[in-house]
Amino acid sequence: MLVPALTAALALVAAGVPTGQPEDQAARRALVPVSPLVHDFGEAFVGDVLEHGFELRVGDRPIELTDTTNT
Amino acid sequence: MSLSALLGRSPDERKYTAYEEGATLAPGTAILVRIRHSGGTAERHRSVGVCLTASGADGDQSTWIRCRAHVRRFLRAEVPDGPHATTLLEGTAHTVDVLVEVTSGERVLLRPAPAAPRRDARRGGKLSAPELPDGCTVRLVPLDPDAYGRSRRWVARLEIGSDLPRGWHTATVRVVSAARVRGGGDGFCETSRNVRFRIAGPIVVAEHALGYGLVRLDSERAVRTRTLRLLQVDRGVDLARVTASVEPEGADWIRAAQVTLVEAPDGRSAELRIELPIPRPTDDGAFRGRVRIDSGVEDEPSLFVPLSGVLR
Repeated sequence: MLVPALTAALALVAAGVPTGQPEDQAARRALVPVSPLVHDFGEAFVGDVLEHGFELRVGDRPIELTDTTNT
Repeated sequence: MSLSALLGRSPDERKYTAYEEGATLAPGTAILVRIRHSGGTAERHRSVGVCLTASGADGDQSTWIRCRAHVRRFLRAEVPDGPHATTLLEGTAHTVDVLVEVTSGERVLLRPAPAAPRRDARRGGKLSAPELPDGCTVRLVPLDPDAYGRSRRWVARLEIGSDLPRGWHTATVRVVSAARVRGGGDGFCETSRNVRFRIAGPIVVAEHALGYGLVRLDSERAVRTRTLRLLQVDRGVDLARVTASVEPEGADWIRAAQVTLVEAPDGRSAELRIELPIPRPTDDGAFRGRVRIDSGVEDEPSLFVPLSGVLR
Protein backbone atom coordinates (compact mmCIF):
# COMPACT_ATOMS: atom_id res chain seq x y z
CA MET A 1 0.00 0.00 0.00
CA LEU A 2 1.48 3.29 -1.04
CA VAL A 3 -0.68 5.69 0.88
CA PRO A 4 1.09 5.40 4.24
CA ALA A 5 4.15 6.80 2.55
CA LEU A 6 2.62 10.22 2.13
CA THR A 7 0.91 12.88 4.03
CA ALA A 8 -0.96 15.72 2.43
CA ALA A 9 -1.58 19.16 3.76
CA LEU A 10 -4.35 21.34 2.48
CA ALA A 11 -4.04 25.05 3.00
CA LEU A 12 -6.16 27.85 1.66
CA VAL A 13 -5.67 31.47 0.87
CA ALA A 14 -7.17 33.60 3.61
CA ALA A 15 -10.87 32.86 3.77
CA GLY A 16 -13.09 34.83 1.44
CA VAL A 17 -10.33 36.18 -0.79
CA PRO A 18 -11.03 35.02 -4.34
CA THR A 19 -7.94 34.92 -6.53
CA GLY A 20 -9.50 34.69 -9.97
CA GLN A 21 -12.62 35.17 -12.01
CA PRO A 22 -14.37 31.95 -13.09
CA GLU A 23 -14.74 33.00 -16.68
CA ASP A 24 -13.24 30.14 -18.62
CA GLN A 25 -14.75 26.80 -19.31
CA ALA A 26 -12.41 25.08 -16.89
CA ALA A 27 -13.96 27.09 -14.13
CA ARG A 28 -17.10 25.00 -14.54
CA ARG A 29 -15.18 22.29 -12.80
CA ALA A 30 -15.49 22.25 -9.05
CA LEU A 31 -11.69 22.29 -8.71
CA VAL A 32 -9.50 23.92 -11.34
CA PRO A 33 -5.84 22.88 -11.43
CA VAL A 34 -3.40 25.79 -11.44
CA SER A 35 -0.29 23.61 -11.40
CA PRO A 36 0.05 20.15 -13.05
CA LEU A 37 -1.77 17.39 -11.16
CA VAL A 38 1.15 14.99 -11.50
CA HIS A 39 4.61 15.72 -10.15
CA ASP A 40 7.70 13.64 -10.81
CA PHE A 41 10.41 13.92 -8.16
CA GLY A 42 12.80 11.95 -10.36
CA GLU A 43 15.48 10.05 -8.49
CA ALA A 44 15.26 9.82 -4.72
CA PHE A 45 16.97 7.75 -2.07
CA VAL A 46 15.59 5.40 0.52
CA GLY A 47 14.85 7.50 3.61
CA ASP A 48 14.48 10.77 1.70
CA VAL A 49 11.43 12.85 2.47
CA LEU A 50 10.25 14.94 -0.48
CA GLU A 51 7.61 17.62 -0.54
CA HIS A 52 5.60 19.18 -3.31
CA GLY A 53 2.73 21.66 -3.28
CA PHE A 54 -0.13 21.37 -5.78
CA GLU A 55 -2.08 24.53 -6.54
CA LEU A 56 -5.77 24.51 -7.43
CA ARG A 57 -8.63 26.91 -7.16
CA VAL A 58 -12.33 26.55 -6.57
CA GLY A 59 -14.50 26.74 -9.71
CA ASP A 60 -17.72 28.68 -10.16
CA ARG A 61 -19.66 27.35 -7.22
CA PRO A 62 -19.07 26.92 -3.49
CA ILE A 63 -17.79 23.52 -2.41
CA GLU A 64 -16.69 21.48 0.54
CA LEU A 65 -13.54 19.41 0.24
CA THR A 66 -12.93 15.90 1.45
CA ASP A 67 -9.97 13.58 1.12
CA THR A 68 -11.45 10.36 -0.29
CA THR A 69 -8.18 8.62 -1.13
CA ASN A 70 -8.94 5.61 1.03
CA THR A 71 -12.70 5.48 0.73
CA MET B 1 -6.48 10.37 6.29
CA SER B 2 -9.05 13.12 6.55
CA LEU B 3 -8.68 16.77 5.75
CA SER B 4 -9.55 17.80 9.27
CA ALA B 5 -6.44 15.95 10.41
CA LEU B 6 -4.19 17.75 7.97
CA LEU B 7 -2.29 20.83 8.90
CA GLY B 8 -1.47 23.47 6.35
CA ARG B 9 1.82 25.29 6.37
CA SER B 10 2.14 28.86 5.25
CA PRO B 11 4.17 29.24 2.11
CA ASP B 12 6.63 32.07 1.87
CA GLU B 13 4.58 34.63 0.04
CA ARG B 14 0.90 33.90 0.25
CA LYS B 15 -1.02 33.47 3.45
CA TYR B 16 -2.62 30.08 3.47
CA THR B 17 -4.65 28.87 6.37
CA ALA B 18 -5.51 25.34 7.34
CA TYR B 19 -8.74 23.96 5.95
CA GLU B 20 -11.29 22.81 8.48
CA GLU B 21 -13.39 19.88 7.39
CA GLY B 22 -16.93 20.92 6.52
CA ALA B 23 -16.09 24.56 5.77
CA THR B 24 -17.46 25.96 2.49
CA LEU B 25 -14.97 27.39 0.01
CA ALA B 26 -16.04 30.37 -2.14
CA PRO B 27 -15.55 30.30 -5.94
CA GLY B 28 -12.04 31.34 -6.95
CA THR B 29 -10.44 30.48 -3.62
CA ALA B 30 -6.84 29.30 -4.06
CA ILE B 31 -5.95 25.93 -2.63
CA LEU B 32 -2.56 24.50 -1.87
CA VAL B 33 -2.23 20.78 -1.28
CA ARG B 34 1.17 19.82 -0.02
CA ILE B 35 2.22 16.19 -0.39
CA ARG B 36 5.04 14.82 1.65
CA HIS B 37 6.56 11.77 -0.01
CA SER B 38 8.65 9.33 1.95
CA GLY B 39 11.14 7.31 -0.06
CA GLY B 40 10.22 4.20 1.91
CA THR B 41 12.59 1.39 2.72
CA ALA B 42 12.94 -0.44 -0.58
CA GLU B 43 14.21 0.31 -4.07
CA ARG B 44 11.42 0.74 -6.57
CA HIS B 45 9.37 3.15 -8.62
CA ARG B 46 6.84 4.75 -6.34
CA SER B 47 3.64 6.52 -7.25
CA VAL B 48 1.37 7.96 -4.59
CA GLY B 49 -1.85 9.86 -5.02
CA VAL B 50 -4.44 11.82 -3.11
CA CYS B 51 -8.08 11.99 -4.19
CA LEU B 52 -9.87 15.26 -3.37
CA THR B 53 -13.64 15.24 -3.63
CA ALA B 54 -15.44 18.56 -4.04
CA SER B 55 -19.03 18.47 -2.85
CA GLY B 56 -21.39 21.20 -3.98
CA ALA B 57 -24.92 21.88 -5.18
CA ASP B 58 -24.24 19.95 -8.43
CA GLY B 59 -22.99 16.82 -6.65
CA ASP B 60 -19.47 15.46 -6.13
CA GLN B 61 -16.41 15.80 -8.36
CA SER B 62 -13.17 13.97 -7.67
CA THR B 63 -9.69 15.15 -8.58
CA TRP B 64 -6.57 13.03 -8.25
CA ILE B 65 -3.17 14.54 -7.60
CA ARG B 66 -0.17 12.28 -7.84
CA CYS B 67 3.57 12.17 -7.09
CA ARG B 68 6.12 9.81 -8.59
CA ALA B 69 9.68 8.99 -7.65
CA HIS B 70 12.31 6.44 -8.56
CA VAL B 71 13.70 5.41 -5.21
CA ARG B 72 17.21 3.98 -4.92
CA ARG B 73 19.30 2.89 -1.99
CA PHE B 74 21.96 5.40 -1.05
CA LEU B 75 24.29 2.58 -0.01
CA ARG B 76 24.37 -0.74 -1.79
CA ALA B 77 26.22 -3.82 -0.52
CA GLU B 78 27.24 -6.77 -2.69
CA VAL B 79 29.40 -9.83 -2.28
CA PRO B 80 31.72 -9.64 -5.33
CA ASP B 81 32.39 -13.38 -5.34
CA GLY B 82 28.70 -14.03 -5.87
CA PRO B 83 25.77 -14.93 -3.71
CA HIS B 84 26.76 -18.57 -3.42
CA ALA B 85 27.51 -19.89 0.01
CA THR B 86 31.16 -20.48 0.76
CA THR B 87 32.62 -23.60 2.34
CA LEU B 88 35.57 -22.84 4.61
CA LEU B 89 38.09 -25.15 6.21
CA GLU B 90 37.69 -25.75 9.91
CA GLY B 91 40.45 -24.45 12.17
CA THR B 92 41.70 -21.69 9.89
CA ALA B 93 40.85 -17.99 9.69
CA HIS B 94 39.12 -16.59 6.60
CA THR B 95 37.96 -13.30 5.16
CA VAL B 96 34.94 -12.58 2.98
CA ASP B 97 34.73 -9.16 1.31
CA VAL B 98 31.50 -7.23 0.93
CA LEU B 99 31.68 -4.28 -1.47
CA VAL B 100 29.71 -1.22 -0.34
CA GLU B 101 29.02 1.47 -2.96
CA VAL B 102 27.48 4.92 -2.70
CA THR B 103 24.95 4.96 -5.55
CA SER B 104 24.98 8.76 -5.88
CA GLY B 105 28.74 8.77 -6.41
CA GLU B 106 29.35 10.93 -3.33
CA ARG B 107 32.29 10.26 -1.05
CA VAL B 108 31.23 9.33 2.47
CA LEU B 109 32.69 8.04 5.70
CA LEU B 110 31.38 4.70 6.89
CA ARG B 111 31.59 2.82 10.16
CA PRO B 112 30.45 -0.65 11.19
CA ALA B 113 26.95 -0.58 12.67
CA PRO B 114 26.48 -2.35 15.98
CA ALA B 115 25.42 -5.94 15.44
CA ALA B 116 21.93 -6.66 16.71
CA PRO B 117 20.45 -9.97 17.88
CA ARG B 118 18.78 -11.76 15.01
CA ARG B 119 15.08 -12.47 15.29
CA ASP B 120 13.87 -15.76 13.93
CA ALA B 121 10.52 -15.40 12.14
CA ARG B 122 9.93 -19.15 12.34
CA ARG B 123 10.14 -18.96 16.12
CA GLY B 124 7.65 -16.15 16.47
CA GLY B 125 10.27 -13.43 16.34
CA LYS B 126 12.24 -14.81 19.26
CA LEU B 127 15.90 -14.00 19.52
CA SER B 128 18.17 -16.53 17.87
CA ALA B 129 21.82 -16.37 16.82
CA PRO B 130 23.52 -12.95 16.92
CA GLU B 131 24.06 -11.13 13.64
CA LEU B 132 27.78 -11.65 13.95
CA PRO B 133 28.76 -15.11 15.23
CA ASP B 134 31.37 -15.18 17.99
CA GLY B 135 34.81 -14.88 16.49
CA CYS B 136 33.66 -12.76 13.53
CA THR B 137 34.49 -9.08 13.11
CA VAL B 138 33.95 -6.48 10.37
CA ARG B 139 36.68 -4.11 9.24
CA LEU B 140 36.06 -1.28 6.80
CA VAL B 141 38.60 -0.37 4.12
CA PRO B 142 37.97 2.64 1.82
CA LEU B 143 38.93 2.24 -1.83
CA ASP B 144 40.66 5.29 -3.32
CA PRO B 145 39.79 7.60 -0.40
CA ASP B 146 40.19 11.36 -0.43
CA ALA B 147 42.32 13.33 2.05
CA TYR B 148 39.59 13.04 4.68
CA GLY B 149 39.26 9.28 4.31
CA ARG B 150 35.94 9.52 2.47
CA SER B 151 35.26 7.19 -0.42
CA ARG B 152 32.61 6.17 -2.94
CA ARG B 153 33.48 2.49 -2.57
CA TRP B 154 34.33 0.57 0.55
CA VAL B 155 35.24 -2.99 1.35
CA ALA B 156 33.58 -4.33 4.47
CA ARG B 157 35.88 -7.22 5.31
CA LEU B 158 34.27 -9.97 7.32
CA GLU B 159 37.00 -11.66 9.32
CA ILE B 160 36.03 -15.16 10.37
CA GLY B 161 37.96 -16.59 13.30
CA SER B 162 39.43 -20.08 13.36
CA ASP B 163 37.37 -21.22 16.34
CA LEU B 164 33.98 -21.43 14.69
CA PRO B 165 32.42 -24.88 14.95
CA ARG B 166 31.47 -26.97 11.95
CA GLY B 167 28.16 -26.26 10.32
CA TRP B 168 26.34 -23.43 8.61
CA HIS B 169 26.71 -19.86 9.87
CA THR B 170 25.25 -16.53 8.81
CA ALA B 171 27.01 -13.25 9.50
CA THR B 172 25.28 -9.93 8.83
CA VAL B 173 27.71 -7.28 7.67
CA ARG B 174 26.08 -3.98 8.60
CA VAL B 175 27.55 -0.54 7.97
CA VAL B 176 26.26 2.98 8.51
CA SER B 177 27.40 6.39 7.32
CA ALA B 178 29.54 8.14 9.90
CA ALA B 179 27.85 11.50 9.29
CA ARG B 180 24.48 12.72 8.12
CA VAL B 181 24.40 12.35 4.36
CA ARG B 182 20.71 12.65 3.55
CA GLY B 183 17.92 14.88 4.73
CA GLY B 184 15.38 12.14 5.23
CA GLY B 185 14.90 10.57 8.65
CA ASP B 186 17.97 11.08 10.79
CA GLY B 187 20.19 11.25 7.70
CA PHE B 188 22.38 8.30 8.66
CA CYS B 189 22.20 5.75 5.85
CA GLU B 190 22.65 2.09 6.66
CA THR B 191 23.00 -1.04 4.58
CA SER B 192 23.62 -4.68 5.34
CA ARG B 193 24.38 -7.94 3.63
CA ASN B 194 24.13 -11.49 4.90
CA VAL B 195 27.11 -13.74 4.30
CA ARG B 196 26.30 -17.41 4.64
CA PHE B 197 29.13 -19.86 4.97
CA ARG B 198 29.84 -23.39 6.07
CA ILE B 199 32.72 -24.50 8.26
CA ALA B 200 33.74 -28.00 7.23
CA GLY B 201 36.51 -30.58 7.34
CA PRO B 202 39.08 -31.23 4.59
CA ILE B 203 36.54 -33.03 2.38
CA VAL B 204 32.79 -32.47 2.23
CA VAL B 205 30.27 -34.94 0.91
CA ALA B 206 27.38 -32.97 -0.60
CA GLU B 207 24.79 -35.67 0.11
CA HIS B 208 23.79 -36.60 3.63
CA ALA B 209 22.45 -40.01 2.63
CA LEU B 210 22.20 -42.33 -0.34
CA GLY B 211 18.68 -43.56 -1.08
CA TYR B 212 17.93 -46.31 -3.62
CA GLY B 213 14.21 -46.16 -2.94
CA LEU B 214 12.05 -49.07 -4.05
CA VAL B 215 14.03 -51.52 -6.17
CA ARG B 216 12.01 -54.11 -8.12
CA LEU B 217 13.47 -57.59 -8.23
CA ASP B 218 11.92 -58.22 -11.61
CA SER B 219 13.48 -55.13 -13.08
CA GLU B 220 15.39 -55.63 -16.31
CA ARG B 221 18.14 -53.41 -15.02
CA ALA B 222 20.70 -55.46 -13.16
CA VAL B 223 22.53 -52.50 -11.65
CA ARG B 224 21.31 -49.40 -9.88
CA THR B 225 23.69 -46.44 -9.79
CA ARG B 226 23.76 -43.56 -7.35
CA THR B 227 26.31 -40.77 -7.08
CA LEU B 228 27.94 -38.95 -4.18
CA ARG B 229 29.66 -35.63 -4.78
CA LEU B 230 32.91 -34.88 -2.96
CA LEU B 231 34.16 -31.33 -2.51
CA GLN B 232 37.75 -30.48 -1.73
CA VAL B 233 37.85 -27.91 1.08
CA ASP B 234 41.49 -28.27 2.05
CA ARG B 235 43.56 -27.54 -1.05
CA GLY B 236 46.22 -29.88 0.26
CA VAL B 237 43.97 -32.92 -0.12
CA ASP B 238 44.37 -35.04 -3.24
CA LEU B 239 40.94 -36.33 -4.19
CA ALA B 240 42.50 -38.88 -6.53
CA ARG B 241 43.73 -40.76 -3.46
CA VAL B 242 40.25 -41.16 -2.03
CA THR B 243 38.95 -44.70 -1.85
CA ALA B 244 35.49 -45.92 -0.91
CA SER B 245 33.59 -49.10 -0.18
CA VAL B 246 30.11 -50.16 0.88
CA GLU B 247 29.64 -51.67 4.33
CA PRO B 248 26.37 -53.59 4.83
CA GLU B 249 24.28 -53.55 7.94
CA GLY B 250 22.46 -56.88 7.68
CA ALA B 251 21.90 -57.31 3.94
CA ASP B 252 25.30 -58.72 3.08
CA TRP B 253 24.67 -58.77 -0.68
CA ILE B 254 25.19 -55.00 -0.96
CA ARG B 255 28.88 -55.58 -0.23
CA ALA B 256 29.17 -56.39 -3.94
CA ALA B 257 28.57 -52.78 -4.88
CA GLN B 258 31.16 -51.30 -7.22
CA VAL B 259 32.51 -47.86 -6.33
CA THR B 260 34.18 -45.69 -8.94
CA LEU B 261 35.83 -42.33 -8.35
CA VAL B 262 35.63 -39.74 -11.14
CA GLU B 263 37.68 -36.65 -10.43
CA ALA B 264 36.77 -33.27 -11.94
CA PRO B 265 39.45 -31.76 -14.21
CA ASP B 266 40.18 -28.94 -11.76
CA GLY B 267 40.77 -31.40 -8.92
CA ARG B 268 38.40 -29.47 -6.61
CA SER B 269 35.58 -31.99 -6.71
CA ALA B 270 34.89 -35.59 -7.58
CA GLU B 271 32.01 -38.00 -8.01
CA LEU B 272 31.72 -41.36 -6.35
CA ARG B 273 29.53 -43.66 -8.44
CA ILE B 274 28.10 -46.54 -6.45
CA GLU B 275 26.72 -49.32 -8.63
CA LEU B 276 24.53 -51.70 -6.71
CA PRO B 277 24.02 -55.09 -8.43
CA ILE B 278 20.47 -56.31 -7.87
CA PRO B 279 20.36 -59.91 -6.72
CA ARG B 280 17.58 -62.08 -8.06
CA PRO B 281 15.57 -63.48 -6.55
CA THR B 282 16.90 -63.26 -3.03
CA ASP B 283 16.80 -61.09 0.05
CA ASP B 284 13.71 -59.01 -0.56
CA GLY B 285 12.94 -56.41 2.07
CA ALA B 286 14.70 -53.36 3.38
CA PHE B 287 18.43 -53.08 3.07
CA ARG B 288 20.77 -50.60 4.64
CA GLY B 289 24.43 -49.96 5.10
CA ARG B 290 26.90 -47.14 4.67
CA VAL B 291 29.42 -45.87 2.20
CA ARG B 292 32.81 -45.60 3.80
CA ILE B 293 35.03 -42.95 2.24
CA ASP B 294 38.71 -43.13 3.12
CA SER B 295 40.10 -39.68 2.52
CA GLY B 296 43.74 -40.31 3.24
CA VAL B 297 43.71 -37.19 5.42
CA GLU B 298 45.26 -37.59 8.85
CA ASP B 299 42.74 -35.35 10.66
CA GLU B 300 39.69 -37.07 9.30
CA PRO B 301 40.63 -40.41 7.71
CA SER B 302 37.09 -41.72 7.14
CA LEU B 303 33.69 -40.28 6.27
CA PHE B 304 30.46 -42.27 6.32
CA VAL B 305 27.27 -41.79 4.35
CA PRO B 306 24.25 -43.98 5.17
CA LEU B 307 22.73 -46.02 2.37
CA SER B 308 19.27 -47.58 2.27
CA GLY B 309 16.54 -48.95 0.04
CA VAL B 310 13.80 -51.54 -0.26
CA LEU B 311 13.97 -54.62 -2.47
CA ARG B 312 10.68 -56.11 -3.69
